[in-house]
Amino acid sequence: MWSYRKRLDHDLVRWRDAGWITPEGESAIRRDLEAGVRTLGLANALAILSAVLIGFAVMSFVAANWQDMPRILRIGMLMAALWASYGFAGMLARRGMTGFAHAAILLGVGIFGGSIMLISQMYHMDGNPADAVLLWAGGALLAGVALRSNPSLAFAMVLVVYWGVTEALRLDRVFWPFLIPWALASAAFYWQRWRPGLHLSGLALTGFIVSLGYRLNDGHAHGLVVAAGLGVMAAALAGERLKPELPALWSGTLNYGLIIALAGLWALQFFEDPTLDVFILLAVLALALLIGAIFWGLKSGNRGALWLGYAGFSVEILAIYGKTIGTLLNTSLFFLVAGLIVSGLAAVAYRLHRQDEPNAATS
Amino acid sequence: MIGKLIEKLSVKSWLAIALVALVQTVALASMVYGRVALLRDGREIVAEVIPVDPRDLFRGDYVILGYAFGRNQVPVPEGTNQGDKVYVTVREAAPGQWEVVSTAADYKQPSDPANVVLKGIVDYVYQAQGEPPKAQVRYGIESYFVPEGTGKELEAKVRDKKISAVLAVGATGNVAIKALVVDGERIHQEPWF
Repeated sequence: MWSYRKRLDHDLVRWRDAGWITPEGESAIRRDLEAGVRTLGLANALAILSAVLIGFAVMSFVAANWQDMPRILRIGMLMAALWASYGFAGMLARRGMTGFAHAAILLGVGIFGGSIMLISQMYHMDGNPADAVLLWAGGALLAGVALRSNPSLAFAMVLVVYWGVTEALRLDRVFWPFLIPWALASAAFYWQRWRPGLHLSGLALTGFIVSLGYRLNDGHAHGLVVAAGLGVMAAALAGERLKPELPALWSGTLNYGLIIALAGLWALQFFEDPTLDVFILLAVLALALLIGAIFWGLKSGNRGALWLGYAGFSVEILAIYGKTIGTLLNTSLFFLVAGLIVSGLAAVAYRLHRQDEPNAATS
Repeated sequence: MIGKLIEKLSVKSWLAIALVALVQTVALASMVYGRVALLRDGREIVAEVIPVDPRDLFRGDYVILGYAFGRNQVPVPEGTNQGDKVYVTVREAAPGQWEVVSTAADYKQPSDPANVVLKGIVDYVYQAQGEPPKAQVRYGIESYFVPEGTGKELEAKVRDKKISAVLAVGATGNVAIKALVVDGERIHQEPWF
């Protein structure tokens, strides 16, 4: 929401200057935007929260007070609550209260999950809890897709991640089936063209790939993680060339690839305890990658890459300092060499920038 | 958080809403039906329960139940991993005392009608040097939920007494708890629905 406002702010000024909209039109748009943000943004957020709270309240009340009821009545109550919340969602949507309708859909998804747990409890089912979470995720995904409800889709992804993590821990190995529901939820996000959801997908997959480094090859597969990260970055760069109409997708992919590659490099440097030569080589690689990210961020306007580059650079420097402290000669030498290289790069960047500037001014 | 919304609700959307509610209802109903069918049609066996920790039998409002055929001494085939499904054949050595006869990775109809096959999931595998692997196996019958606030009362009843679980075993090895037996008395047995 906020990013949309900021972008619209920029665009409005540009459109007015270009003469595409009148000043009256601009102020009307701004008024509309203000009103929308104030009433709907907060109200919808509160409605989502209230759906979560009411869901919990209903479930705990029912669970605590229903031992005297026969099982059939309890099951009937759960199903009635399920239908009531979806029906309520339909009514709200019909009145144009779409935000509240989404909250009601989320409440329905919550009741579905609560029902799974209460039925398990009713029949003393003590199987694999992860199966119940997967069933719940399936219900959330169905509601998200069929009713075009992004909050439900986001919740489905959260459940899928929870499922994948518990199964990986329980089985104590890489849990590849995670990728199937992950792909389904990600496809739904893409289909909805919902960027926050795609970021959720990116984060989930990043975590999965980084975890491979600690799982495969007896927990020493970080080189593979670095390669995967670089591969993702290369794919993003190639994608940008081939399908330039999706810039946000490619810049996001590039940044997640960068995170993956850095996580692998950090594990190699600080988790694997390499010899000093190898460590220096890895540190130089990591710094080069980060400087590359900063360059790329400045050049292409990818602010994510820019900030990742700056933040990663600081963390890397601090980590190197922490690791090599005590071997003072090496530390100071390393920083001296790194400093010289970076200042050389700064000089090159300055020149490039100077060359670009007149071009930009004339075009 | 709130992106593209349901714009105008038409008949199609009501259909979508009904579809979501219906599919979720069917999912819940099939959970219940599967369990009821197992309880109704499954072979009934009574197995003695080993308290996992006698002082902490009732944690919250459910009982943790241990069984002789589940605790860390179940021999499993070589190469069995944590999380694998196993089919454990058990036989009643003395009333209520079921012992492991054999374990297999696939379901096989027991040749001896006195034997019962139970489906379980391997919790941990232990393997001492030069010995066949042994495992702790869970069957999904290790928790028994009691009405809120009655845990302590039941605990007093159970102290120093033998408890058994009445189990229903399905045709493919699925197991469900029907009731608990404390001192020969069935407690908390509910109608199936």
